[in-house]
Amino acid sequence: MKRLSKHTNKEIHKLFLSFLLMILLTALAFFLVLYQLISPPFLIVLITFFALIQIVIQLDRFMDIREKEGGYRLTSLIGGSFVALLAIVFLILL
Amino acid sequence: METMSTQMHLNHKQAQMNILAFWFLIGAEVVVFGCLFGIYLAVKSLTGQGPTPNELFKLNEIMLSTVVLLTSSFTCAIAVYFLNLSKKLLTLLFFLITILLGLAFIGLEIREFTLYVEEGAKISTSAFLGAFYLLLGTHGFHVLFGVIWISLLLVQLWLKGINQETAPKLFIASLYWHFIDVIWVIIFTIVYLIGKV
Amino acid sequence: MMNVILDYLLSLPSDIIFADISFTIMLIATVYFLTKYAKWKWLWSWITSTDHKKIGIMYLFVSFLFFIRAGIEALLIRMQLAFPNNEFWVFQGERFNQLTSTHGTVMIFLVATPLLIGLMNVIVPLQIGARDVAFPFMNSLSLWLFISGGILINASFVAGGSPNAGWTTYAPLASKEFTPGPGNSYYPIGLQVAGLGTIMGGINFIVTIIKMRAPGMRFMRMPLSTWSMFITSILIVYAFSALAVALLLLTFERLFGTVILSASEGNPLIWQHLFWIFGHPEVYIIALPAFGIFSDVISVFSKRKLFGYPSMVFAIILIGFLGFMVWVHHMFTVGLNTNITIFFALTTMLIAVPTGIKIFNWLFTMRGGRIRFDTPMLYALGFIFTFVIGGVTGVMLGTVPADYQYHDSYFVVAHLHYVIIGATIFGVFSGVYYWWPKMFGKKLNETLGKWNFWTFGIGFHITFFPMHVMGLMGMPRRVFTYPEGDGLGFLNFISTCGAFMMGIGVLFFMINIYITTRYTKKRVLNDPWFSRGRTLEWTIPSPPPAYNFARLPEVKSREPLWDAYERGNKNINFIGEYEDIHLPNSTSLPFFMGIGFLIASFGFVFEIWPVALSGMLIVFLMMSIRSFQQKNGIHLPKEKVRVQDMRGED
Ligand code: HEM
Ligand SMILES: [Cu+2]
Repeated sequence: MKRLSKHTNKEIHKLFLSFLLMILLTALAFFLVLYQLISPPFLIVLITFFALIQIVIQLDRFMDIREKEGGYRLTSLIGGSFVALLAIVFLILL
Repeated sequence: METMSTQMHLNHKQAQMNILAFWFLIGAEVVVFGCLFGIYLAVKSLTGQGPTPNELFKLNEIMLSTVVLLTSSFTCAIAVYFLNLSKKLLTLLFFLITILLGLAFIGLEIREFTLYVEEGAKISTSAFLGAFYLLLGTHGFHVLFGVIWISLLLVQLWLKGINQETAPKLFIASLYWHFIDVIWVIIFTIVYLIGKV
Repeated sequence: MMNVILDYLLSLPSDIIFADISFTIMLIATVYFLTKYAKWKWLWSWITSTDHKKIGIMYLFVSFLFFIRAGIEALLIRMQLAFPNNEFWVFQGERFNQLTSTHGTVMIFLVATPLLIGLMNVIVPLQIGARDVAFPFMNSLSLWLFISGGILINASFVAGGSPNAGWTTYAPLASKEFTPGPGNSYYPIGLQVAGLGTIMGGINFIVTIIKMRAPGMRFMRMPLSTWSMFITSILIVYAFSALAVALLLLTFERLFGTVILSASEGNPLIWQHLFWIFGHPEVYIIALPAFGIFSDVISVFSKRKLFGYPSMVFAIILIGFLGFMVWVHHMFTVGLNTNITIFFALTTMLIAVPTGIKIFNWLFTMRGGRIRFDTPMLYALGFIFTFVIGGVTGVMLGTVPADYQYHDSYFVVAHLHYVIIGATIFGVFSGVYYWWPKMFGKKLNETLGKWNFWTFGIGFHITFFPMHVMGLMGMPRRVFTYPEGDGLGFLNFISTCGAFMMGIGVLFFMINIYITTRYTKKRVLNDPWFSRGRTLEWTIPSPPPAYNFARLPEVKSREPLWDAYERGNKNINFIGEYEDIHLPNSTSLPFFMGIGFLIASFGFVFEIWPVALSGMLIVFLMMSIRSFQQKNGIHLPKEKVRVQDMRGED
């Protein structure tokens, strides 16, 4: 029971760290935009990158995308992203 | 039954199938939101008589809703963590916090929209606003659905405890909730932040 | 009061009165016969069934009804176009537009797609050795959403006017500004409901195939029907989601006044992009399962192993993947950037390659085989012939400069029917003849089958071959007449004659069903196709018991049954002990959810919000009930299974 609680404590720490990181990234992006510290094209790339990190954290830490067998979850997501990306690119190029 | 762990419930064949099906639903939802983002990006500059994104958005308030939703995602993860430990009351509590935060988010969003409309930024004012409300509305509707869904599950959890039926459902609902959060992160970045750049 | 109703009825146009009357007669007749033969309980047991075979049969039945309706529309179109400057009944101008629009919409969404989903339902679990699909409840829900959306689109004709902007419903024509009536609201809302059901079906089959295969049934041992239906399900999940957004967008344009698609304030091309991001994969959604069916049929009736199985699987996957990257070939003439156009022209040409591989594999399979020309095989051969022509015209259309000539002409109408009827409709006929014995335990009459094939097939070429020429002569599609002096009269007349011949072909099919059901006494064995069966569905009784497999089949190769025959056995081995079998409960919730969606949709179409809201409430209520339900299912004790299984064997 003791060992279990130690282990679980670690788990909760991990979750909390992920959460903290997400809040931090959000806040950082927010301030960067608020005070326009960096030139726009670079800023856009940077905050998009922040968003990507957050997404990966959510998928990996909270949503358990790395299952043991198959990799179907990731496949489904990649398929959807592929179609979505095509749609976005050609709608922007319109 | 009583002695089975939550992990065993989740590893049950039907539960595994449900989870897999849900991941394919997420794949579909990615396309849905991808297309909505595409529409938004395509017409972002078509503001017509209406305000531009830069004139419209008030970042401070959006920051607040973002923190609310991110926190709800965190509490949801904690709830699942307690679900895995088969702690009924704690699971219940954290899911409850999650949906309360979800409700707060919806409240903030409604307030935001009414403010915009009062300023004359209606859904029919310009193509940009149409796409904005379409995207945000779809997301908000997902949040609302999640709140109602999880509330129903919580009633079941209360009545039946953690078992073969409730455990997978709650787990899947948590996936849904995190997914909504992922979408919000993208909305926050692409719509609000970049709209302000 | 009576007078008011009578006045109203008499004020209606004659075609609507006719539709109303014929519908009323059919309704009364149905009720009468159901009552006379005391079949209401029986009907209810079908409505509430969660058995994948029954759901599949209902899918097939309902889509066949829609096929007849849209087929009658096709005949009306052809009658209006039979002569130059013709004025047939009321079908000019606006009414003609409604006719072509519903013909196309119904045929694509409510005929081609669900017919194949019906076959998928019947066949996939049997071919992978499963006792049911992964989600029987959701399966039933898919069915009722499809029926609900279908009823909505079909009802539009008599309730306020049909969609009239073509099956593609391009904006801005489809927006309120240009078509204010309810017609074009039916389209996005009805299809949204049906599409939702289709997405659920797609997910259901993906999970079924991934998780429920019998022991030993590896992916590379699955029959090609199952393979193609697997890839189709994946395409459905992604493509129909894009459609859902397009439809949502159009709904918002029409009901809530957004201006995203408006020509002056927004950009109408957004609709075209979203629609074709869905639209081209949809072509493969309805073609791939047909390819799979033909692969199975050709191999069985040639008594040969399918040539190049791995390359067939690879080709299907490649087609599915490339299918998402060619959609702009529907938009070559809107004046996009040249580089974009070139890219999509290239991918379009590329997709012809895997398709070509498949054609050659089929031909090689037949080479040296002991071919039997039964109806399923005839349809398969007819398909190869027809589809090659359709493929060639497809490559012609994919050539950008040439497309500027062909675009929006009858050449396109000819091309699309060559591929859709050639693949999907022939495929469904082939599959239905092939699996009919498995579904109903009786074989369809072979003589009538041949009549069916030859009239339908020859009629098809008579109808559509001249359309190529009409298109090249400059006849545009979606017009209700053409002038005397253009020299189009003769070809059009021929085409109309062919259409009636196709109609006769369909009549033969219906007569065949009637005669077989009514008069054929002989019940078929497990494998009715002269012991040529190869795959698992022929190892179990026809029709199979509710649980399909009493014991799980042993799968050690791609063609377990054929290998057993080769070894001189009568059937494959079934492994494992008899066990208690768990069957899903029947349930009426999906049916009522369908009704809820129907009510809500009418509310949305006519913008009566209380109705819309109450419909949604019904749906929500049903969902909540479902959520709280204890899902026990029915347990079949193993003794019973054993006894039934023994009886089946002699
Ligand atoms: C009985 C056989 C059929 C006949 C005689 C027939 C006839 C026609 C004709 C003449 C048109 C052109 C209307 C126009 O452009 O003015 C048309 C359009 C079309 N047909 Fe068929 N058809 C038949 C079966 C089918 C089937 C089985 C499908 C698909 C499963 C189908 C799908 C379509 C589509 C998508 C259009 C385009 C509608 C539009 O322009 O919006 N047809 N058909
Ligand atoms: Cu295409």
